[in-house]
Amino acid sequence: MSLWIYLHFPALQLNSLHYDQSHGLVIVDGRRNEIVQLNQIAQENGIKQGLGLASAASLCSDLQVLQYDPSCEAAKLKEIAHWLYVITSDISLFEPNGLLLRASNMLTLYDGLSNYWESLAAQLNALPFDYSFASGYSPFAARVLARKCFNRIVDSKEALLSELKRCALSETELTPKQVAKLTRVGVNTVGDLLSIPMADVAKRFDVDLVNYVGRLTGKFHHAVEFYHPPEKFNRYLDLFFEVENLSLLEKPLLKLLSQLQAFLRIRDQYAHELSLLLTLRNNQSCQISVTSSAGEYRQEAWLTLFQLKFESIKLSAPVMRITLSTERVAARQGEMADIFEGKQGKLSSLELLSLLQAKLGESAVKGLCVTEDPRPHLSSQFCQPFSGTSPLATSISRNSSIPRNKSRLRPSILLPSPKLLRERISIAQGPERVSTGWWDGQVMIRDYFIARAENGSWLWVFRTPEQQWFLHGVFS
Amino acid sequence: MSDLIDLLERKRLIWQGRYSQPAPEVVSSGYPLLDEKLAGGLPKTGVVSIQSSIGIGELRILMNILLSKSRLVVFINPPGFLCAEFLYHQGIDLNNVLVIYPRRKNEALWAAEQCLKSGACSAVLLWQHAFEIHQVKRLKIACDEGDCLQFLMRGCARTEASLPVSLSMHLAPHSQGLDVSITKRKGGWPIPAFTLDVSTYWPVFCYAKASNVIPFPTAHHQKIV
Repeated sequence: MSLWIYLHFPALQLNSLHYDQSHGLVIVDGRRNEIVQLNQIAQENGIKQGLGLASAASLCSDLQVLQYDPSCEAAKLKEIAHWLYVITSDISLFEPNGLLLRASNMLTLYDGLSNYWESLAAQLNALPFDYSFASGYSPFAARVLARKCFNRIVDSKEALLSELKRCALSETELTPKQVAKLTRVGVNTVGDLLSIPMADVAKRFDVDLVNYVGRLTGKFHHAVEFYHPPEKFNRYLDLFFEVENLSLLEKPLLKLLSQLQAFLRIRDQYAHELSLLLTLRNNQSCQISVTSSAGEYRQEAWLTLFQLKFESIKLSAPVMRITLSTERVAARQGEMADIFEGKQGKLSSLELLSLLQAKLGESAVKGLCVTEDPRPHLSSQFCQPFSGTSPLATSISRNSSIPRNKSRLRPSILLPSPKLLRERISIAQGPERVSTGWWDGQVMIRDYFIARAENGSWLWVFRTPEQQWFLHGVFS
Repeated sequence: MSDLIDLLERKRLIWQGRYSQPAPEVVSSGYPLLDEKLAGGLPKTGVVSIQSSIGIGELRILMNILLSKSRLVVFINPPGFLCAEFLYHQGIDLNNVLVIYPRRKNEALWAAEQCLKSGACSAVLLWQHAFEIHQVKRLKIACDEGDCLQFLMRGCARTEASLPVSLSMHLAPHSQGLDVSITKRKGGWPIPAFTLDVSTYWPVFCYAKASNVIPFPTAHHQKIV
């Protein structure tokens, strides 16, 4: 029989809020109209779980109320499972607020239950969630004890069984109907139920109860589905206040970034692109994506990039929720620096590029490449910085494959499009005939000249077959 | 007694008239005359202001310096498309070139400062007409931080107050190349205009021999053609 540990999170939604702690706060299940979670201040005001909203409001005047959201808890539960995955392998989710861990497999690795629990507890305590826990020899037994706040991890079968026997039936998974049925025949605790032989239970009650008892005692197999961590980082944070000023987003964002940092570090990965989704009050959303060419996992570095990006963003409505996800990640490469050159500055060229792109926009920062196309406006092109290749798949060529020719004179600055020549020039060199482009329909016949304008500047001009003269570049 | 003077000298508590500051590190421009006038060449780090109209060869005289650099060369706000072919055939590794077209003037200055202090760049060329003194000071500090050279490519207007640059040059066209006047130089006196002959490097861009020059075809010529 394997040993299980169950973790119960009684206030998952409350603990996951990013809020101001000076007011009483309750979370109300709207369907049952009862309080399910409450903070310390609400407790001090005499509010208890299970109370109606009206009674709670009368006890505490400035009470803040939130709706209970099971899907939020389920998402948080996944995050916890993910967080614990570094410590333990077999984790099963019991939605909305429980986690089941299989301890038996991990005992050899950690050399004993107490060591195992110690590292598990250390990992859990890093999170802001309250939890209660218990061990047990079946998933259900551990769950019943944990929900009862047993809060001990032991592997003695007798101790666990005697504790289990003391539990009331209402604390188990049985439906109220089944509990009522059993109470009517004088069965009040789990101990009473277990003392009845299985065959008799089967004769007098339905098959569900038999199944339950079998699973509780560990005699029947209980199939559980184990958690597999996701490939992508995707987490969100609800803001307790609507944020209108993007600079106020930095703190909550840093919270998510620190989670990202932990996520990436244990995988030894770098994120190259992150996207931040701001959910706005008017049901719209605003997507911000930030790239780091060199790859980065540290929260401070990402925060700097986000801060630069925020400067150019205007919000149409206040932000209510932020979601951070990774778009591109890659395994971390070893960083090599020239030992003799010495690292001159703080940043590598790729880090500098990410910084510039975050502030100025990706289209403002460009690299250059040459192609084999003889047409001047196609032979020099902008491309992705440091890519060294042309963006055009048809004329793709490595920069290095074209022979360098120092005597090939080209202007250093080209006009975006040729302009009609309107000044007096004297020609210094030429013509150089460019008659090409028959293969893609952009036929070009031009005679290029190097000419000198009267003000002393050197121009690159061309003449079309129609004898029209155009200015195309400047030799600066 | 002499021991005491030695000690004080070593602690730099005594200033003697013969003591002179070590000359700043320089990098050769590739033009012997220019190097000679500048006592070795352009400063290795710092801000260099170049005043000239566009298209007279202001970029060409920097080519040798840019070629000697191994880190990034950043062009910010050039007046048109920077031609990759030109840089490539001059021998510059295009993977070490970044071109930035910022939308606003402040962004251009910001980008220049970031590039300078990153330590990933060896030269930054910024095309902008007017600068303020505090902006140049910031760029200078960034240059020292990242061991980088900043060129301010300014227009030919000569009206502004003196900027705290390491070297300020004024370029004008000349038949043999360029007329260069050094208007400000750190650790030296301004140098009046002299002619820099570029005919050995760039024979095309000299027009002393009038026979080379074909007059611009007029309407009369075109009829004949």
